Amino acid sequence: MDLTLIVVLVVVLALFFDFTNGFHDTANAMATPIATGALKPRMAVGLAAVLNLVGAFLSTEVARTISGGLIREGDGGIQITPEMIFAGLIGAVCWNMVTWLFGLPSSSSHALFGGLIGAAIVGAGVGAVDFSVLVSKVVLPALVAPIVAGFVAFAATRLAYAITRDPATGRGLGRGNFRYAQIFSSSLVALAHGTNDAQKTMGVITLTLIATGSQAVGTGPEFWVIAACALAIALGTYTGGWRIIKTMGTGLTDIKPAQGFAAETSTAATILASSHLGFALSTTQVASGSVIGSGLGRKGASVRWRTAGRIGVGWLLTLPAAAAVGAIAALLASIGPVGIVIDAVLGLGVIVAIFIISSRDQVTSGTVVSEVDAAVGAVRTPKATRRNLKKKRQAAE
Amino acid sequence: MIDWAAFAIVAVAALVSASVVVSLFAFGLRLLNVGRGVDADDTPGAIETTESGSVSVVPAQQESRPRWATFCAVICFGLCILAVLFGIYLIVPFFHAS
Repeated sequence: MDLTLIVVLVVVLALFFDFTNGFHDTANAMATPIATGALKPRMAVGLAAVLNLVGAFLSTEVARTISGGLIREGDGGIQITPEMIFAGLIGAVCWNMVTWLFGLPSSSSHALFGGLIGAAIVGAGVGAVDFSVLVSKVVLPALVAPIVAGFVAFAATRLAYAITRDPATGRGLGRGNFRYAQIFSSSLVALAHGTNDAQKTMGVITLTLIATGSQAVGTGPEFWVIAACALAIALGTYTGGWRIIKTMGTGLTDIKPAQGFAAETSTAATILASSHLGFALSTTQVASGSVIGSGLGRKGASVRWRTAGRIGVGWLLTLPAAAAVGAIAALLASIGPVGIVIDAVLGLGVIVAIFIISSRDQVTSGTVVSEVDAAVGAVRTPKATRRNLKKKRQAAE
Repeated sequence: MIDWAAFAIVAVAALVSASVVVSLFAFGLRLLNVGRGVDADDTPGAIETTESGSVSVVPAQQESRPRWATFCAVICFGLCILAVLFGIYLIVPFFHAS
């Protein structure tokens, strides 16, 4: 195999993107069970990591459809160069790091698409991008995903509360037990995520290897690529994007076990329905929509629309911002090898800088549990009379 | 442009499947509480720690829940397990690869 500097750089950067994808998306599956105490934080990210690792080995079906027709390749189209992919990845990684710093759940796929689009425009002109595909495959699904998931979660939450309501007293019956179901629903989301997201990186690496002639055209990802991507996403997931988990689990609305179960089931149902009925939706946007929907579905719960608005702005910016960074990186890369080195150094600088900024206000596994739960643990509990125990149980539901 | 028919199918499928699964589990929980007061929603046999640190076991309900309720609850939970298995079937391409 002919390993040039650029190929090595692309592989390393792609694996780092995979890692950021992992820690960005831990929240999709595990924010709600962590918030309700269904799973301990460390346990939850460990479970998600294992399921992502397993999931990555399960399928390579979509690994080669990475560009999804967005960039016109092949005959009459443009030649995708490793330099372009490298520049696109820099855009994607930088944007993922920025959204993580602000604790915003944003789609890693959009960041990747954005970065590649930006690099393709600089490398081959605006004609390289099929904007009608961009609208129908990226922009509209991004609007639709949270609305569908939110509506489904709203209905599911209403049902869960209506069915477990005691007709005589109007109180809840055994709602705390939804915690046990949450473990399964969130695990399904994590597994579905693993089968999808690691493949994007596999696709990028395979595309590069094919473009440089290291691999035959039309072949699938090699085993070392699959294994490396699986490990990178699992490691990222285990590291746990605590900032994003905090936003999703406690920032949007206060989640009770019944809501958590309803939200995760809605996420799983929406993702599975979309991936099997041909209408791909972003896991992140579906999961966020579900959480908001479950917040609207429980009486007495409130949704913090300011946080929801910040997330929405993040989604709108993801594609153009990643594209802008990708374009700048592609401009630099067009200088030649020196430009690529400058790119690499600048990219590394941004990553290190964000890690340093983030260490000022660290969010760790200890700070993501709902503040109410934390307060319950901190405050000396009143005497365990039957009445007080009852109160505590009701609070838990 | 966007395929609205596919979108509608996805929305309906997600709504129906999520509602069915959540309802089944909720009915299961509700059935387990048939014949029990709101007071007694601890699981029988669960270990409870009181403030003073003493550990007590929640006593089993004395036949207050009718047999049919337990039976139906088990069926509900069983159907939920089937739903999870179906989810895994859908996720793993190996099972439904053409």
